[in-house]
Amino acid sequence: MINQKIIEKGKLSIKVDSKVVSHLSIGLYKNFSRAIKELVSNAYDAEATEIKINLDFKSKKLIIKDNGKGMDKIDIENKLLTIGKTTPRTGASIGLGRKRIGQFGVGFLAVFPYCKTIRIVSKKAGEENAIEVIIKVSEYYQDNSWVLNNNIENIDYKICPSLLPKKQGETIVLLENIEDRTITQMKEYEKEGCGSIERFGWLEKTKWELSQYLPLQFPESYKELKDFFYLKNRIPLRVWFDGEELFRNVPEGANNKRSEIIEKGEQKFGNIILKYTILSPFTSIRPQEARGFQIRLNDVGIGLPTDFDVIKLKGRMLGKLNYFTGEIHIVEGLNNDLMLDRDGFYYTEEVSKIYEFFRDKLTKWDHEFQNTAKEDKAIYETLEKLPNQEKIIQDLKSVGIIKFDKTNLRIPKAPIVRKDKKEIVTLSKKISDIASKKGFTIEKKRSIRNIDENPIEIDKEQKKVIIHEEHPSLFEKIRVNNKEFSVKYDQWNITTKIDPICKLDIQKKTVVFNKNHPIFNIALDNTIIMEFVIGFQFIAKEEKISISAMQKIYRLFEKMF
Amino acid sequence: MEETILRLKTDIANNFWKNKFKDIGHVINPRKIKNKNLKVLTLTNSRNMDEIRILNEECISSKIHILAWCKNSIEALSLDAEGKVNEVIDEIEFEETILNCGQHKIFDRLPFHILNIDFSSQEIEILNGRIEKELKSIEKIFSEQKRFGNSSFIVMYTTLLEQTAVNTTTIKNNSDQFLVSSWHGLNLSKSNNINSIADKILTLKEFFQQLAQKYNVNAEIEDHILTIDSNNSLCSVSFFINGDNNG
Repeated sequence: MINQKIIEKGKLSIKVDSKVVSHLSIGLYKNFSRAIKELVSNAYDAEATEIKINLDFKSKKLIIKDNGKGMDKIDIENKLLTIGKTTPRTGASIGLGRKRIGQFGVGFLAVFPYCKTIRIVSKKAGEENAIEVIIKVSEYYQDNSWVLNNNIENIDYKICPSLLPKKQGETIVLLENIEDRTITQMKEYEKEGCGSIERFGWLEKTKWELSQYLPLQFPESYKELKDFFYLKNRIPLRVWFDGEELFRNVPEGANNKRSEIIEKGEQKFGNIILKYTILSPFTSIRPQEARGFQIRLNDVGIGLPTDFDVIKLKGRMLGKLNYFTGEIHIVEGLNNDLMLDRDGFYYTEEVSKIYEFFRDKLTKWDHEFQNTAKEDKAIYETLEKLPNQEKIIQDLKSVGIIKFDKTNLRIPKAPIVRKDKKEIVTLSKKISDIASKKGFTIEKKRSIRNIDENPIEIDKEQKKVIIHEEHPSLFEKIRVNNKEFSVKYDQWNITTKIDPICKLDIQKKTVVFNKNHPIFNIALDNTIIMEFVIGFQFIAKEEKISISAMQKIYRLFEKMF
Repeated sequence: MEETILRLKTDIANNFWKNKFKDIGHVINPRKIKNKNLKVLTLTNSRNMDEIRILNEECISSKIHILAWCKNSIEALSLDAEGKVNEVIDEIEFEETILNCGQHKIFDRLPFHILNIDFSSQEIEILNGRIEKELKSIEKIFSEQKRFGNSSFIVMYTTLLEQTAVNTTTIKNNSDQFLVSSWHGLNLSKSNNINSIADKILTLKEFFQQLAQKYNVNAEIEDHILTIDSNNSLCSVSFFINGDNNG
């Protein structure tokens, strides 16, 4: 980029407003990741479309290169090294359809506590030359405090011809001799588990934080989000960290379960316009810091995701709260209400209304999820004994009939013997009820199916559930006298001379029950009634009891219970 | 000229280097389709890193195995920021370092599977004796590489051929400084100063052919020439050493 020929060299100084120093002393930038974010924000404001970050532990250096418009000596003196006096307002329009996100100058100081030297090489677009500046940071930040003496000319600069094409701008910031304690923190390895970013290694955590905060693009796999939040005429920012491109975080569930958009919309609160999405992987969001809504102003993350204290303020327990994540993009307004640390907004009536709106959303969706979980649990229990159960579950999940994983629903391993009265309804009927509730058409087939074949098939294109009613696994089974009978249901008039309750075929091991018979209305579980009826049929046959005598006994049974 | 060379580098990388990189990858790790993890030294710059892209895309090497050399320290910084190589060496020019700094860390990194010695990527200064010095540095690194046994590797030598005369006597004298028992000395068909591009290409090929004879290696030599204008060409020569580990 620069030939060795030096056109000009000399000294520059840093000029800092005293108000800025007081902000710095309260610890505006709490960690190195945040400091890196500030440098990236400056590059974004300089209209960079590509930013490359490379960290080298061995050499204790971090390099950030951007292809923004670059700086010449005047820019370096008046903007980079003059801090706090003419800070442009966040949200002011800049080129490439963007709004300013950094606090130029203040953000640049953020990296001072973490290294000993900063080397900046910049070539302004349209210029032939580049400028190199070397700042000995240790002269400005010593023993955890700032020594910002205005106008001391102790920053070396030189101007050299650049090898880059004239129209191209570029800025490279090199942090050298990164503090040992920062390096030690960086080298911390990942702890077990990934439920929280505190368990990530430093590098992963930093990448996560950058992906959370920066105005990056959504990954291509979440095109719907990308399209929804797309702003016409805005040129996106691309960032690479150690050669790997970073994309906007879209939090997922355990085992990388993909999040689905469950709601999206646009809303106006006074002068504030926002767009939002609510997402869920139908399991707990990981890491836990990603649970709740990430608010963005000018596409930059404001603080960490929040649930707006929904439990505290609604006074209600929300069991599925940890299943939700989302994005709230402030499209218009709120630029003047941003706190200096950019972690939140000052309290206003509109801000309060926005928070209340999203608390209501979370409460509503929690309720919906509780209901869906109940329905899914019923399906899992229904399918419990079917062959190829996993395949059927997978198919039902793929078309959205089942939303939750079995592991999230506390399904009992062994079926519990029900003491309450069981309805007389076939398995096929139960499945068709659930599927039609989810908007699927049901096709019932009576063709004979082999036990190895699937009793239930899903036609994804036609949104159709095919139920093979004659599949052996869809029949209820009942055991009496060590014999297992397949149970079917039918209806006939009880005054006929044939058996009014059931037709038992001992050879075929089937029994058809008359579900209109009043005996099934008595306060006794139907399985017990059916076991009694079949058992009694055996006795009647052996003892040659007449049908009229049997009917008398059944009526007595009805009266007793 | 710089921009033309950058553009032509893409052509050479795609149409010549790529196949050679794949060939050596197949010889070193014939059974691996991915992650061949070849050790690479490349002379490059941040404005065109096509060889690094190819090495990654073709799974011939990966970041951790690539050492880059860039003589301009700020270009090296820019290259480092890309995060695509393990380390960037940004000393003085490669040939000067190889020939005069016997203790340089580059010698600790030997042997490499691919030595992509692209002088055209290093801000060429048009001087008398440039190519002669480049070839001397090539023989030096080749002889150092040979100390590690008879393994396969490839040297890609790329340079700008321009109007400045090349002195074949200097090439011979330089080469003969590297003593090899029973070697009778470099014997080039052209004598003294040569000016035409055709003569220079012929001399380069003879140099590499005799380098193979001198060090008693089984080598395949190929060249790829791209004309810039009537006076300038970009020339790349591949010197593929078939060692003991041929798959």
